[in-house]
Amino acid sequence: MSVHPPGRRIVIGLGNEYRRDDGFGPLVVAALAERRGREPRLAAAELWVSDGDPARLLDLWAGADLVVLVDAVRGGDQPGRVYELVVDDVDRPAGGTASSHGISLGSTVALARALGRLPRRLVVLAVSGREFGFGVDLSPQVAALVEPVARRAGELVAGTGGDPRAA
Amino acid sequence: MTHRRDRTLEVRALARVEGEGAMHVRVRGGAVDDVRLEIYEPPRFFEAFLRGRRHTEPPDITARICGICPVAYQMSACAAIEDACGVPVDPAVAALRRLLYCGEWIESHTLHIYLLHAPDFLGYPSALHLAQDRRDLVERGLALKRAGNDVLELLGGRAIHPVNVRVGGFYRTPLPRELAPLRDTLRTALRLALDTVRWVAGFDFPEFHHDHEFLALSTPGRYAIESGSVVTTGGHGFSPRHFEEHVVEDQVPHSTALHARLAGRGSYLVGPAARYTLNRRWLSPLATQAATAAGLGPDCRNPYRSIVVRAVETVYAVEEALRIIDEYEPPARPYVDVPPRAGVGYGATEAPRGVLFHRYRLDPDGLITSARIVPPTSQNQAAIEQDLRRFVEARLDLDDEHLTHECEQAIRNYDPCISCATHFLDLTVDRA
Repeated sequence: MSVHPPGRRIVIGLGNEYRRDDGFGPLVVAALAERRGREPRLAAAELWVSDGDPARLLDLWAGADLVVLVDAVRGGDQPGRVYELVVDDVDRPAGGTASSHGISLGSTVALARALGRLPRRLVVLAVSGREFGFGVDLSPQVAALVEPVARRAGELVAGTGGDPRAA
Repeated sequence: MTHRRDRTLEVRALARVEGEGAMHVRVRGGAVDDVRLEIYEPPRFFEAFLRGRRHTEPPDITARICGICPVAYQMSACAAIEDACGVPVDPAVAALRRLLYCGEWIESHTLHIYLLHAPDFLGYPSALHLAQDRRDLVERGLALKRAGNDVLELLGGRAIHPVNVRVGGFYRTPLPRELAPLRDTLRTALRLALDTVRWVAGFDFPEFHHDHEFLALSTPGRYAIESGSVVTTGGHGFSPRHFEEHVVEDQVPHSTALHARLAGRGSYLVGPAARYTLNRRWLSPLATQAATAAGLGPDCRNPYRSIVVRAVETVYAVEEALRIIDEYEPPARPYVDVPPRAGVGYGATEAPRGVLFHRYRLDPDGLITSARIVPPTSQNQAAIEQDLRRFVEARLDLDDEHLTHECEQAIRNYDPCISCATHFLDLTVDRA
């Protein structure tokens, strides 16, 4: 297992870009990668795309100072609504999410806690999606949120976004 | 306990990975009236998605069908396209493909064993609950899984949906010294894999046996993974080129997935138990020894014991990965050119959960005019339904909750993608 430097700040885009709105997380990461070229404050942030496999997530974020997970979720109040959650809020195994093999993000967080592998701070930026079928286009309401959510994720990992609990 | 003569178990699911599944069981007059495993398989749509694409694209596109076994899709796609174009790959490239595939077997099998299936045998509702009581066990599973992950990352460029695979080989092949660090990881993994076999061998396995025909690839001299001809326990043998003459798919009303059957013979099963039963003699001595010590005989016809077979195959995959690394000589070029030509190509490989068949028809410019993908899950669907019926018949005295749980465990015996669906499910009991 690789040894991670201290103070790691990571943005992880969860999803599959071939499943419509599920591609939101990877697209936010792509937008951040583009920003990173012109925003030095983002230079140290790690950017990853993940399918949500719990074991890989646990390895990816173990020992990190801050992890920002970006994901599209089924349900929610209305397509295109953004939720910002801190780790305690997602510490409930939940069904019906667009996650891998029935192990939801909440379960993964709980598993990480049981194994002592939670990052010091974990923030989830979730957007309520509408279409999870095959294809590469996001729903318009979700597509409109790629840049704003990338900006918010960038603020968080750059330390300029304030306390996420206060957001 | 309940002895209601009429009842319906309805288990519905939403899942995004390889399959979307639901379970429906109806009991009438004290007998099982109807059992349906309803699966909505993405690959059907991918076949249309592939039409009009270039012949170089299927490895990347089909890898997206499954986050757990993308390598299987890449390997079957490459084999089929190279077959269509009449281009064999360098043996060193073929060895690297096998190494990559070993990484996927290790990852996928370990995920299934530790996070999906073992909790059933130990009386835990999930891996989380197992971790709360036995952190050491889950840690061991995660460490073993990570070894497969490391192989994928090194060869595939990243752990999910590898980007280094291309038709004809790899974009870049590693230097021997780059593979060397994997040796230590895999040596440790071998110990963990052997521990895993001993652990799962001690589970309590319900008595259940089936007599389905098994189908798997076979490569004389070694356990089939990335290539081979098709063999069955019914004595049939044919090349992937003739797969569609022997395997027929039918539409059934309750599922968008097709039900596969062997022409003139009926349902059959692919997967670890099929591979083991047909290829046990090609396992390594250590894996064979582990299998024997775990109580596996010459064949495995109790689906509950598939978890033991997965553990044995994990031992084999770790050993095989070590062997390939030890013998590795980099190819002269990372890939061979695969110029397009008009034709049809066939490819079959052993995904962790069974044979995965691809067929592509190309036009002279290399554009795909038709594609066909037969994933293991849909091949197993009919046999699983038949087994489920027998599972239920033997457990009609259970109440709905217990019966549903037992059915879910039974489904998890076969395929982690379906178990995925069942983990999600809200249960609705429709009392007649």
